[in-house]
Amino acid sequence: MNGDFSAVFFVLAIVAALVSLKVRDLLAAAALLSLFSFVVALLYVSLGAVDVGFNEAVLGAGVTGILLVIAIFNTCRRSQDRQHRGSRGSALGRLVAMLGLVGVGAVLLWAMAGLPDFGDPVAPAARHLSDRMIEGAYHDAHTPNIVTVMIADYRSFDTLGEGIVVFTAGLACFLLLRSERRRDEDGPGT
Amino acid sequence: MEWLHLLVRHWAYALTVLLILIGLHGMLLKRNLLKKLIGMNIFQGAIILFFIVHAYKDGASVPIWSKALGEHAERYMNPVPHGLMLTAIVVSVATTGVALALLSLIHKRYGTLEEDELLTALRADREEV
Repeated sequence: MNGDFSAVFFVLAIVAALVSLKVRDLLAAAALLSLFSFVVALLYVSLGAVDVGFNEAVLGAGVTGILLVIAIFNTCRRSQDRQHRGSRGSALGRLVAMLGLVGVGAVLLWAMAGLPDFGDPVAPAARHLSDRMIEGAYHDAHTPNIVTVMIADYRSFDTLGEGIVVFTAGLACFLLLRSERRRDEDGPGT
Repeated sequence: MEWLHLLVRHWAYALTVLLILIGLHGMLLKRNLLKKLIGMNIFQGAIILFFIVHAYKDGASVPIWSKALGEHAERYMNPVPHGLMLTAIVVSVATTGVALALLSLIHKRYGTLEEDELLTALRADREEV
């Protein structure tokens, strides 16, 4: 694969993320978040992660967008950022948050200096476990897609754990929304 | 000058850091809870991107076995981060779903999703008790 388009997709993703946080109309923000997810999915594909790109396009851009739109229609559509701008405590809080943000950015950029070069074929991450998986996958499972072999054969217990996480999340959603309905039946004010 | 050189060699990491900061900014500084959730989603996307950037190898192919390429590890992208991030995407959608259920409960009870109004309403609740 070539990473020629990845710089373009990176810039598009950053712009989509910034605008989606900026707009006041929440429906537009949800649509822009879907756009962000889709651009990021294209970026994954251009960096050679076809399975991850497919998954992100379906779940990130599709399912998350639909969930957000449903939630927005159930709540309110406008967001009023910075309504109480004058209050002193919030100004101090904003300052502290801004300083924290700059600090986190500085630490991350400093840590970046210790990482292997982008696209280095002999980076430490590529030389220990993954090389044996790539070389043994077809022999072990007779499936050409190495990521499939990893998910379903080498790490199938992890995939079972993932299923349990999704089941728990579904159960939590069900119980939360059921308690909401019960409160409705009791009448308002309880 | 050395700094600039480093930035050129690590440009994909630098842009990922920028995306992480945008997401964190949304989570910390936006007043609307739904905006905070959108910030969290951007943050998660950026973290996944960080792993995918790690898995990239120059001149390599997608991690699907082919006879022409043979069994040489340096000719395929690293599949281990890809597998891990497949799990992470599914989990991130699950957390978004639970968060949206909680938000709809909050909106039902307090009629707003703005942080300031919620804090005032919570304070009033506490004084009542």
